[in-house]
Amino acid sequence: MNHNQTRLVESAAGRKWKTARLAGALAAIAAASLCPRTQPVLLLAPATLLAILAMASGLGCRFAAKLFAFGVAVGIGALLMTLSFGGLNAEHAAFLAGKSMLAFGFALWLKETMSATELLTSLARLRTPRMVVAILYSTLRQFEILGVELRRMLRARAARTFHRSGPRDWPALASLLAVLFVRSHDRGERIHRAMLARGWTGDRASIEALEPLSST
Amino acid sequence: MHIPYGFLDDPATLIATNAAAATGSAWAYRRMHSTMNTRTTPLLGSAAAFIFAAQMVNFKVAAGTSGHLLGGVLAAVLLGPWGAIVAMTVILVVQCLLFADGGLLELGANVLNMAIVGGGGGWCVYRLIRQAIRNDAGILVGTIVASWLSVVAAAACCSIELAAAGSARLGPALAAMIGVHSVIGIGEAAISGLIVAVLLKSRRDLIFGESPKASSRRVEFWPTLLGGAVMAFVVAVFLAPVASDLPDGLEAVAQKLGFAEKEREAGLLPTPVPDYEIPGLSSLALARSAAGALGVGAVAFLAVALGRGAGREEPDLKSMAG
Repeated sequence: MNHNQTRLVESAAGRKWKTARLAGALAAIAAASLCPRTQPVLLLAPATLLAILAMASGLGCRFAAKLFAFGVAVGIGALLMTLSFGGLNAEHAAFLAGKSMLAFGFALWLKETMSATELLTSLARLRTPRMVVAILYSTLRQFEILGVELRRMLRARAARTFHRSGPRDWPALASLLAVLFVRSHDRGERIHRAMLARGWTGDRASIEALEPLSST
Repeated sequence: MHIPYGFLDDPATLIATNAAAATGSAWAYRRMHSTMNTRTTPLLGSAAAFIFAAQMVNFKVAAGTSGHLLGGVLAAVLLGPWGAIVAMTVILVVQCLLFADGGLLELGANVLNMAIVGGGGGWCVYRLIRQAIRNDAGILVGTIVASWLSVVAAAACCSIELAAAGSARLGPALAAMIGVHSVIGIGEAAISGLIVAVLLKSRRDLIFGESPKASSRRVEFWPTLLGGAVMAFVVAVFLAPVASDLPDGLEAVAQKLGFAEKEREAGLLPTPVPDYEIPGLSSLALARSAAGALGVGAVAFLAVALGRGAGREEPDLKSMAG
């Protein structure tokens, strides 16, 4: 009994801390995104904060590598935009790419340090409408089911030696997608009925009582 | 088509797009609330998750370019307009928060392009065609044409937003985005059409607003299709050059008002996207019209090919689904 109470108190404090973290990261993304072009030096502040946060959370080389990969992709995107869309000069493009990379870094930090369920309960605590959180949860839950069903169907497809891929196989692939939808929808319906039978109302308490998602 | 973090570099554009998107999706949410409630929302999740997964399937478009499904029209066909806007918004929120795809402040612009224009606008086109052709072919032709148009319209909105934020010039951005996406749209139309074709045969009840009763006789198909194709050709042929001529007018105004210096710098690299033009046609406007018409023609061909198959009796796919 006593042990249970301690755990509840701890988790309540932990939840508050996670909600604060989500709000802080969203604010940091907004701040980085809104940095004016005339003052690129200002970007150093969120950059330092991100570096400190990443180190404090024990995120190492993989985090840096992901951030770098995104930076390269967004840099190429900005370069392409400069070439084909006009409007941007090299300096502006580099500024946009840097800013974009920083904001992405905060989002990535959030993703690496919080599970999907924690993110959803924190969103509910930030007064996101109940139904939105409920839809978000069911989307993510359904996403796991899709993965499982897809793996099964691909295994069946491989067993029937369909290995080709070309325009002639598009109808087959599309019907694979459609059947995948039908199957996962059926399963989602069954899960939903089971959830209702177990007292699902879609409010925060029932979201917090759900089992953790494993997809992210 | 997701606008990444920080790319809308202008507070006014950010405020305008976020306000428009918030209003639009809140309205859709309210309208949807009348038919769904907290207990039934998990059903919306299955469609949202499916489109989310389908968006991960990349297909090659041209040399070096690849596109993915947008899914706005597919969502609209499955969930109706309000459900589609809400589901697409949810997908974009998940992508932004959990997969770091698409910016946070740019979420408004992305919702506007893909959920409201792609889903809601796509529904309008689908519904018009659905009402004009009153059998199963109407559902398919509607899905296909609406899918293509929704992708092109979303791309046009995206370039307008980038131009408004000063990250691009309207003319080149429109030309490049519409050009690439009129090809991507063919893939979108094909995938959406094929999925809906299978659903029509196996799970008709999953399509929004369709009763499970058998399809009616095939009437009015060819005249309506012909009329629709002619209209689409006219739009493509006349609107494409107008769209690309528009910025020239803007530039003239800019030069008159004397703030064109920045423009000139950028104008040193006037690279139109090579995929977009058909070689051998000297006039740029003509080439653009031809490319637009080609896109419409390809979509019309798909519509005919799939629509013809819709009336045919084929083995039930439930055995496959089970």
